[in-house]
Amino acid sequence: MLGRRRNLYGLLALFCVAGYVWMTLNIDRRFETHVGTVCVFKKVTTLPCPSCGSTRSMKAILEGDLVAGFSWNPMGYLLLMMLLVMPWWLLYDMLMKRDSLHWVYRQAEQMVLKPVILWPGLILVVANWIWNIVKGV
Amino acid sequence: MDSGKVDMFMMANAKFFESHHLMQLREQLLALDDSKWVYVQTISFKDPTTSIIVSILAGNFGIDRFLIGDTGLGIGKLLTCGGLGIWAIVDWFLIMGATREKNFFKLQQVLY
Repeated sequence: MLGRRRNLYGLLALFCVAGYVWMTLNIDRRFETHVGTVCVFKKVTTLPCPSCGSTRSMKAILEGDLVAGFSWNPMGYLLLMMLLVMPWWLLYDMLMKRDSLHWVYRQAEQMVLKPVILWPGLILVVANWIWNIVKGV
Repeated sequence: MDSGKVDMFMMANAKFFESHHLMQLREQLLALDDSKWVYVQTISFKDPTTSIIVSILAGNFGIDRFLIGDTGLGIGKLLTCGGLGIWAIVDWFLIMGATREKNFFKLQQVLY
C-alpha cells in the first residue's frame, strides 16, 4: 500500500511539474502558434477531443477573462484548480507525513463509480465534447 | 489444495499475470483451503490484450485506465487529453503490465 501511495504522489508531482512547464511555455503566444495542437485525436480525425481547448481556457482565466475561459472549455477551471491546489497539498502531506491526498483520491475513485455521479458525469463530458465539436475548438 | 487443480488453473490463467508472480501464486494456491477454490474460479480477470487494443484506440480519453479499474488515472488522462498525448503513448507500453498487476491484486483480495 505504501508503495502505491508513493507511486501516486510521484505521479502527481510529475503532472504538476509538467503542467506548470506547459502553462509557462503557453503563456508565450509564439509557442502556441509554433507547436500547434498536441492532441493526437485532433490530428488524426480533425475533430477536437473532450479536453481540447483547456490550455487556451486556462490561459484566458489567468489573463482575467473568465467568460472566455468557460467558453474555450469548462474543464480548464477544473485543471487550473488542480494545478493550484495539488503542489501545496502534496507538500503538506510530505512535510506532515500524512496521506490525506491518497485517502481522498481513493474515496473519490470509489465515489465516481456510483451511478448518481457516474451517469451525470458521463453526460456532462459527452455534452462538453459535442459543444467542443460544434464550436470547432 | 490439490496440485492438479492448481496446475490446471495456472495453465489456463498464466497470461493474466506477470511471470514473476506465477511461482508465488502457485505456492499460495497450493496452500489455499479447498473451500475458497470456488471463489478463485469465479473471478473474471482482465485480458492484457484487450487493454492494449483499447489503449491504442481510445487511450487518449483514458478508457484503458477506466477498463482496468484505475478510475482516478482514467479521469486524469481524460482531462489532460491523454497527458498531452505523451502519457497516452507511454501507456501503450505500460498498460499490459498494469493489467496483469491489477489481476494479481484482485486475486490477492480473494486469497486473504
